[in-house]
Amino acid sequence: MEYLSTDKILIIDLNTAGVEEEELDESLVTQKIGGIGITKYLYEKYQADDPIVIGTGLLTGTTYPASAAGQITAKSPATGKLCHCPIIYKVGLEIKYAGFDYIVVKGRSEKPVYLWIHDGVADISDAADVWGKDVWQTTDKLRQFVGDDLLQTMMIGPAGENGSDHAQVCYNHWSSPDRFGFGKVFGKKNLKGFAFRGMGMIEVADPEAFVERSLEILKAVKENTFLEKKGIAPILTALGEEGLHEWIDPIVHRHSADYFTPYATNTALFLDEDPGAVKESKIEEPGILVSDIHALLAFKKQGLSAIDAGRALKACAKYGIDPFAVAELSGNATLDGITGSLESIKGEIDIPGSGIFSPWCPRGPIFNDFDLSGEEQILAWWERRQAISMIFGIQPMFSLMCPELTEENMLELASMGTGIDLTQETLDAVVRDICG
Amino acid sequence: MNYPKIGIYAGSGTSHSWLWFVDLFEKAGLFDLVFLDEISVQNNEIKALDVLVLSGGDTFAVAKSLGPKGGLNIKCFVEQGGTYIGSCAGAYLPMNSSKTPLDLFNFADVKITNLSKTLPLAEIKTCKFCTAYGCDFVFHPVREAVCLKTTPFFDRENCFQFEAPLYGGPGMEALDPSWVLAVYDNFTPKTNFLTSRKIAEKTLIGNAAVVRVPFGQGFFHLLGPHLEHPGFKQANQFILDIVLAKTPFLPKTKPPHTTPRMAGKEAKALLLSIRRELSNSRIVAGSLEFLPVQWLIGQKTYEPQKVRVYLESLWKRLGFLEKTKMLVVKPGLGETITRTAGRTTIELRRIKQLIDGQKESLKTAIRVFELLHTLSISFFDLYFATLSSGRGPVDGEDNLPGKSTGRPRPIGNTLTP
Amino acid sequence: MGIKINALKCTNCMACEMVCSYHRDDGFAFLSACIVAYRAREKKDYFGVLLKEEDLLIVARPEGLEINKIGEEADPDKEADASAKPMLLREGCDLCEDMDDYGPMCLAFCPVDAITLD
Repeated sequence: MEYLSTDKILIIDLNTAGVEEEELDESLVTQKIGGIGITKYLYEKYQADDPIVIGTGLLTGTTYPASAAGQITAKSPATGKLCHCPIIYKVGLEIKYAGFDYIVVKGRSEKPVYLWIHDGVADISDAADVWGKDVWQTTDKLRQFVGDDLLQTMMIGPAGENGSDHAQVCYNHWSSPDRFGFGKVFGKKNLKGFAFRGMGMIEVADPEAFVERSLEILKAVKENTFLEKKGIAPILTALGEEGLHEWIDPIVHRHSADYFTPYATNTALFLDEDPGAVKESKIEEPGILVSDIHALLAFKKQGLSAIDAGRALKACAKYGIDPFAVAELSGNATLDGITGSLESIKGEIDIPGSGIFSPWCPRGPIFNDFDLSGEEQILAWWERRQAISMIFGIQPMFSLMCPELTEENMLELASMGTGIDLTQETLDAVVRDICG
Repeated sequence: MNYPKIGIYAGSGTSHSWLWFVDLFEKAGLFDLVFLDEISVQNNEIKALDVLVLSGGDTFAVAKSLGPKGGLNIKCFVEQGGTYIGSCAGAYLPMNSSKTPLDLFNFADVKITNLSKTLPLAEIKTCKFCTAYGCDFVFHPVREAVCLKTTPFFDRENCFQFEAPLYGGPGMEALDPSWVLAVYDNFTPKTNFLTSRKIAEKTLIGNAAVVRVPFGQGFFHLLGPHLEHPGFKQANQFILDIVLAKTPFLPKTKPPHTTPRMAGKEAKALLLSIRRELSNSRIVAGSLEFLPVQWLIGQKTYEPQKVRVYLESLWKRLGFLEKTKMLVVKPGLGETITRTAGRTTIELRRIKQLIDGQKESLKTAIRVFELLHTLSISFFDLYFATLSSGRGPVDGEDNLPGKSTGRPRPIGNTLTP
Repeated sequence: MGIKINALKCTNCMACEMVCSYHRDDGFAFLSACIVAYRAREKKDYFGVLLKEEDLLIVARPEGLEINKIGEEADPDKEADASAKPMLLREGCDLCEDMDDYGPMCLAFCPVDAITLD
């Protein structure tokens, strides 16, 4: 696979500490396109070894708008189903540039390890120094060890190590869309997580046309008036929640976006620093970056102040547990009660529809209505939209906002970039295979 | 076609500019390259060379590390017909000097025009403005691209102008005008003035930029600017013309196929371990690029970005080795490369931690640059031995695929007709 | 004429860095860009943009613009900061002069119009 790809699938066997590479065959891309089309295929191929499969979309890391996302595909201990979780922030991008399109992790390690993936090299590294540490300590320690603050990580915290049902795989220091208990899956394998860094290059079959068309699409996207807004509060307001701005604005610092994503879906809350400060804070950990709108809302509904909600989110991110599950299941309405209950969170969280896509994304369109009506139509649309995003590697929250990102132009750019004629029929077949 | 055997000095005191010579010669198809440190020069491994190249760095440190033995061997090398090409520090080295240890290398009666007892006023505060030279100062009136013009002693019939960058190299006055191959002719819009234009003109314009000093049967070529810089193709071609002007080259008596070959799993494992550590080092080096630190090592200033220069030079060549079916590897070389690359990673990570902790990192930086030299020399030994093994025997046959003539490829506008 | 960056508008999405590198390399990478999304202070939510011009390093900080002349030493009395060093291996901004259809690509692709032409 020459274009839009590293041409590599990494196969790691934790039983034997074996590391192998396979070529990404063009015929596989022709049949399954990419992202969860291929991660599902790989999961089924290695199913007997209970694998975790990490993937990237065909468009991940390109100039297509919002081409930020990677994917984790694994059997969820929460639902028993094969589920798909987006990899967001700058982490998804880094996977591809670290040298692999897909990573299959089979088996179980005898002792705790983490996978250090860099420039086409995969090292199974001893995690003794970080096992037992929380997510923040782990990411900080690995960044210090590797010598690069731009190291991107997917790590579990004590929740995953202790086998909590709601253990989450966290990205860098932040909570993730993982509602599936993938942190528990990692922990069972004695896998602390992944660290990615790479300075690779992705070749494009027709770079000029690809970039030109990307710009046309971006210009169309920028016509949307919702892009004048930033952050999580406008999203919740658009979904009908009231009082968000009044509640949260006093502690909002800034908003940031995932790779190449026109809307800033992440909001930083400053808990221990003046939120109005623009200079670099002298406090090491002044706050928390929030992308989980439902978790934030759930803490608000518990009656927590914005600062306490921020502290609760921070505690969850450090512990490596799904904050939404904590908010819903903790049975506590105070910060101390919530943070004191992290080790004992039990119960089930409803995952809508087929149950294979994370409800971290609101279950419907945001800002634009996409000409949808009726709950059934909306859910069907949402499921398909999630599948499409995760095949091509599009930031899933943004894909719910932006009608200008169409299946047609994703196929068009994917074909242009790879030199392979990818058709709507193929895409429909892949979606059917994923969604059932 | 008999190719010249070119030795590139990469020992103590050199900076990173010798890597530009590596790129230049590789692009021109001159693969018979040998990488030297001070020990190999002292052991007279330069005897079998056609050309010896010494690029930029700290002239005093180079002289000190080469010592009397190194100086004597260089003298004999040129006396017996060798071609010496020295740019910047490599140009200063063989000029007559009373300063210790430069007085071990008094081979060329050429005066430095940018030498002064009192420093002119610096327009820009930078440590790159001057270097102590005993009781005097070598000052650098300009940096970046300057315009040179060839003289009739380079080419009787054609006079050319071309640009080359000056990064601390000398303006020169030769004892014999016929030694001067090119003069500083003018400045360019990119020239960065460190003194007033008047002083810069007085120091450089009309003075020699490239001289060729006869010595025994050979020549010392002294280049003030870095004509080997990759951004200056005409200047690069000028160097090639000098290299190829010395013909015929020494016959190569040693057949190439005695060096062990490595293939299959063993080669793959070696290259993976090299890739691993180069990647680890490169990642740290990338993050150091943005840190506010400089190190004064000897007389030279080093920035973290220079670490990446070395690593990128190796990294970009790794792909070729990974695609090739057979590596040509001297015994022990693979282990040397892997071990040195691993140590480089450790030291680079240490530097990052020291800087993050606002602690002194100079000692570690010195170690890093020493390791980078060792690593580069070893890596290039492997690389060029493998690359040139694809050429076939060096006793005349040329088996390079796709190269019908086997002649070195011109890489810029040819200056000689 | 030069690139002007509004660091407070910036959302650190790296679009500018990607397209600038594409302009240099004809593929997708981040190695060669002369404009870089500074993001090494993630926990502190401190981010800005670095731009290398021919002789200058422009540092667009949230608190304001800083312009450093390349080659000049930093003031020893001034607190060291992460931006004062030129990006040696990278070419200076040429405003994408060879790309008539786009003009400066960072400007064309910035999704939040944080980059303009001065």
